[in-house]
Amino acid sequence: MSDTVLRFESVSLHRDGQSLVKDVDLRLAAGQMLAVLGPNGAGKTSLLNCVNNVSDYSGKILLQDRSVAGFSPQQRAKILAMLPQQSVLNFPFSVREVIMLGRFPHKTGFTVDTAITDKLLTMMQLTTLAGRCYTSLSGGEQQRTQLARVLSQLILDADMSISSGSVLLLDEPVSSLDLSHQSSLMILLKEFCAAGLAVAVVLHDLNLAAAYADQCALLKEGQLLVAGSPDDVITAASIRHAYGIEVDILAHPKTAKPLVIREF
Amino acid sequence: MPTLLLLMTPLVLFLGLCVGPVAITPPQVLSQLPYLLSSQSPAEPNLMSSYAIVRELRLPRTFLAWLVGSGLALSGAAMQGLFRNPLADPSIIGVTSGASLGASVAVVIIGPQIDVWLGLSGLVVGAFIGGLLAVLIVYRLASETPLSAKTGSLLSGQGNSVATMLLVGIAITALAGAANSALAFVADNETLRRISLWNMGGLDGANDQRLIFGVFIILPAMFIVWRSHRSLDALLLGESEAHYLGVNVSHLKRLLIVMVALAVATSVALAGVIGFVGLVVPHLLRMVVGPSHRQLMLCSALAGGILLVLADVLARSLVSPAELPVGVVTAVLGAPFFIFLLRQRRSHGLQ
Repeated sequence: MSDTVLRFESVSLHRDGQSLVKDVDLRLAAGQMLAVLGPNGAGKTSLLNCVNNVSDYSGKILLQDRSVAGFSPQQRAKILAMLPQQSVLNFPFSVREVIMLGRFPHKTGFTVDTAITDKLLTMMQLTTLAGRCYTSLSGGEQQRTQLARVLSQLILDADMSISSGSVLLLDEPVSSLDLSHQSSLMILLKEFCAAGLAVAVVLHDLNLAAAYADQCALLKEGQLLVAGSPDDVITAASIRHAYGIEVDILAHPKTAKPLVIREF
Repeated sequence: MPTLLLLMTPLVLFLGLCVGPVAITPPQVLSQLPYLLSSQSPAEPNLMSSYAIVRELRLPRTFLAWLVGSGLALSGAAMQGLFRNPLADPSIIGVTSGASLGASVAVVIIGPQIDVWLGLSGLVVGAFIGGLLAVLIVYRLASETPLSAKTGSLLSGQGNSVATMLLVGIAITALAGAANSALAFVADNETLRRISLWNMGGLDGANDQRLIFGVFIILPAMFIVWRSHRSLDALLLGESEAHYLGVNVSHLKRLLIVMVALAVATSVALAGVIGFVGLVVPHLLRMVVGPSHRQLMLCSALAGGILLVLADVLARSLVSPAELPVGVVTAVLGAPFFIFLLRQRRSHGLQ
């Protein structure tokens, strides 16, 4: 694939004598959504953290065929955004102000930044909360606000265009969202993918991954068990291997995507 | 809010020139303004003595009070942002206790009133060096302390975590405090009184040399800190989040620590230990103008200056012709006011 925007080449990460990521090879193409799956402690977060150069990994990670360390912080931030699993923000910013913080790497000016923020507020269904204090929001509302913030980081202008080859890393972005917001977020992300954005998203809901992701990667104990299309990855055998539970895989009655049925 | 504070500033500075044990009416001070601006003494003999008081005593004192209050409040706002804790204050990095120890050492060893450098006394120079040394030690120790997986941030490889710095700062503050007490123990009564008065803060030593020293260090440091307002906003999201947003976090931390250390060490050297201003002014203003640092630091600088000029006016008029230590005034007036506001805020509910 020539349009690979993010490439992991035998990436390993050790910390405190523990091996968190072992020899992972993975690629993410422009416009695609990659679901990163696996049980707790499988190394999903550690793998994403390697991308932003915050951990001393071995191996290679190439962003648009260049080492991530070769970008200046501002250059990098315009094409690579990351939403961590948990963010603690104790200062009384309004929802709008939090989203505006995502404009940090850009010098587009207040008017453009406000226009972008307005559109994101609408997209994330946050318009009625725009003036509310972030600390007074529910967990799900905070998560949507933070999502709008990382999206605003990658947007170039008031037409909501993004630089081709941009990469968005999301660590469990739907963990606090209700069913309706889970779907609307995934649909919104697919729209950004259609505009060229590559998304790597850590998910626990295998059915959500099967329904929306173009590619899946299943990790266990730091190792990549299998990567490929949802049909190839979400199988009874691989799930037994990764999670140690028995499941049945049906075809979704409407979409024919794999549907995981647990045996309780 | 910034406009209001900006308008109040010249009025408060003018008040500072008018108040003192020698009665000089505001119109008299007003008539001296042209002379003050051109720094020529008036020719009329009836104006000369009052001009000397305003020019030599009140002018440097008032402006030094503004500068110190302003620098402390802005530094407090920056430290609260850097440590992501609205209860942080500039002394958190060890600078105040270090300066205190430096001052004591200077007083005990070379005596207080001897000029050692550019017309500045040993006490001022000792405090300045002590403050900077303490911050240097805190910063180096925090950088060299290996971080455990629990307290370490994701960015542990690229500098030190603010949590470690906070802990080292507390340790160094305690150590400097102990050394200070040991010095007070061996000092004679006169020296002891001098040290303890200085620890309460006071602007009575203000003169042109001190004012110029302050202007050349505190103002540039304040400006550099203020320019980081966008990075500080991003840092409130968390260190890793700021890194993802493109902030050079370790560079920002180093810059802020150095500039705040310079501003606060200078403030403490010139005016002693003045509590309350650095903690409470930015804290209160955050309730009014919000947490965004552009406005917050601007308003803190203006309000801190105004507050300390007013506190100093009270300090030298309440028990006139004697003087109260200005640190006592800021604490006695400020602490109850702060508690009142906190309660007020709670009864009205947040937002």
